[in-house]
Amino acid sequence: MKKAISLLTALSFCVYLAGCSTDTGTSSSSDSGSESSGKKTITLWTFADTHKQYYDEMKANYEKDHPDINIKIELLEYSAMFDKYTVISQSGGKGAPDLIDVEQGAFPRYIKGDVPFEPLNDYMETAGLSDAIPKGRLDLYTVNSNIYGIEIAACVSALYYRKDLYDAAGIDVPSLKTWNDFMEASKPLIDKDKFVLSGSEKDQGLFEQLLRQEGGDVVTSDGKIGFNTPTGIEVLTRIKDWKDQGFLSKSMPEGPQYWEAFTNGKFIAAFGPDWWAGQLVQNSPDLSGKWAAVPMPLGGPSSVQTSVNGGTGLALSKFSANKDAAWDFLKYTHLDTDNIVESFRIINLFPALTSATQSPDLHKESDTTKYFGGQDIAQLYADLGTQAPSQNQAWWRSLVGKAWDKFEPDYQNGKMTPEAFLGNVEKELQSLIDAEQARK
Amino acid sequence: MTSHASARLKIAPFLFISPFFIAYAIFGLYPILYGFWLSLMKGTDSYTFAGLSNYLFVFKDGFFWKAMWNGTKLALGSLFLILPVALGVSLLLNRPYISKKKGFFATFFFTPNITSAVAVGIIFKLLLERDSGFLNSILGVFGVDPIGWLKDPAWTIPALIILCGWKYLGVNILFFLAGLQNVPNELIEAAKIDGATPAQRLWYVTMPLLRPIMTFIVFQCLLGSYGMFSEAFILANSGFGPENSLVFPTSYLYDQAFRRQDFTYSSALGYVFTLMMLVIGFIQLKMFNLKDQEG
Repeated sequence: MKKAISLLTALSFCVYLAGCSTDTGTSSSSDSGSESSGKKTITLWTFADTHKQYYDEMKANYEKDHPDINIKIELLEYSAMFDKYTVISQSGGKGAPDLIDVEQGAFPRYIKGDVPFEPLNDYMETAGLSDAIPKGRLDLYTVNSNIYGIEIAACVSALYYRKDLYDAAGIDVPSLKTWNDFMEASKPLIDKDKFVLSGSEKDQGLFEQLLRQEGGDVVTSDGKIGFNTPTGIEVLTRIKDWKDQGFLSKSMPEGPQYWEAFTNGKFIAAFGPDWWAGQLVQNSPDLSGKWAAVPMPLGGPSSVQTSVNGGTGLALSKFSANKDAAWDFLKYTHLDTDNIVESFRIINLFPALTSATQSPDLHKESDTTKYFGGQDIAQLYADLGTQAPSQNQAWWRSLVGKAWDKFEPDYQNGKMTPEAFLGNVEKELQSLIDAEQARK
Repeated sequence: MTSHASARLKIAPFLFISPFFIAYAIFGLYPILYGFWLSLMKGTDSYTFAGLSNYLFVFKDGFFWKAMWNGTKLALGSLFLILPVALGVSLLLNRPYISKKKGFFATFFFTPNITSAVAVGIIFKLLLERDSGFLNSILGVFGVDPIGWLKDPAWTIPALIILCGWKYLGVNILFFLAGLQNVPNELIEAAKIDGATPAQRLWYVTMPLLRPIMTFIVFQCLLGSYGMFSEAFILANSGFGPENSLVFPTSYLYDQAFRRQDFTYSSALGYVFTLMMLVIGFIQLKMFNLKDQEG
């Protein structure tokens, strides 16, 4: 009887615990990196479907050459992926992937405390790749001289425009050297439902990109708040003027409708980095052959013809049970000249890898060159890359959005001038920084 | 031997109920106590004792109070819009000529409640989109200018109330229907004979008898409003919405823990929030005068 009761108790407890289990059956790197078949499984998390497309091609080739390795690519929603990795890293690493695509905007959250990624300096040095990527593209993922992520793209921005429409209107875009010239010339092509560029209720992204074009940044090179400056005010005022004059839309459609707006001709130009153009090619295929790209028009006296926007570094998880194998795949996808050139062909990521930028294969015909009317777009990115501004990192950078959001609706409704708005955002940001520091 | 058998019999019931308590101790009590310990610490990876400083920060944290204020707005909207509609529908469903179809209507209204909050959030995000959303298209037919339901801070809470109305109307109808079963028909009949109008019968007979269930419904409503997470999180694109108008206490403590890696402060936020919910609950019980009802 006693035994029966004990057994029943134990059994019911096990059933209860099994019910509580949240294990979805996915393999985790730290505890099941090796499979019974003897193959090692390397799991890679990414948030960008374009990246997944590239990784899938690389996986097929890599697995052919490495029959003992199984690569598992998992596509997750942006916020969910980083939140999930934070939880995993705070709870011992069970279920962590071996490799994870860390978007530069998400990286600062991992800077506090122990960074949950493996420093790559030694791996790079051993492979003789320490200088393979310009320092500026690695700074975004570097803490205390430790490099935690390898950037894949240069992220240099260009101006893209509907060549068919501008040509039909007799407008020679390459000859328009300033934003003022470009917008004035575009006037005949717009009306109340047609805009030159897509704007939104939130100017932050556009502001940051244009600020970097002017040599500024949200974070200064010495880690201080850098946007509430005369240049910052000038940039925000320019965005406001564009909206007031109907060059820039005041709202932005979301999801597939965003690309549909380009297909329908609601927006006839855009500026953005290589990866943005790659998305345009994929999402608005009907416009193939109708676009062209040129350097960005100039704004203020210190502006350059390009900017940088975004970036993603592939990081090696600190919890990976197969670090060497994972590093080998990272090297294969991000530091191999031929593969990086392929990434440009597949998803238009212009290489951050210096050896790849000199490859003649970048200039071969591809879906992207066809999309841009046969233009050698790689040459454009290569030329712009030499003037590309730097992008600085700070632990508090993700707080900028919080401070910005607090005042933006009032600013957009005309209740604040650009000066007052940037002043308020800086003040709020400083108080958020102070509060976090005080709690440390 | 007999004494052994009797001891075993005494232990047996405790063994039968022990799985729940063991699981609760591990998954409920331990996190609660650990959370309290964390709330007295500071640090990210290694913790040092910080006394009550995290609690002092909570009281000075404008963001937390903004989140509480958003919860209050949602609670007011739920109390004064969703609950009266739920009561109205349940009174209708309780009419004799509908009672045969009561089950069908109850299921009809209840279905949204069992739909995943994430799925509901995504669908409503599409419906509430300013330029191409269904709701604005309908309003456009009546000449209403497009509303930035999720872009304009003045409209985000109304948008959330619309969503909550759709999702939680059914469960509140069920609660009210359950409460209405306890209203004796004889009392209504007696009131009718005495010449009471339908409004008087509702106010003086039905409503007082619904008070016990109302206490529960209102508390559920308050708890759900202040504890709002999934739907607001999805509507705000995993953020806090324009002018932080979609931040709620739970989403703020989630942000502090899993995005800012500030688990100690997040724990303090959790404790302050729980205490405030208890205070609100007590005030509500006092207002509903539950003790008098029991007496």
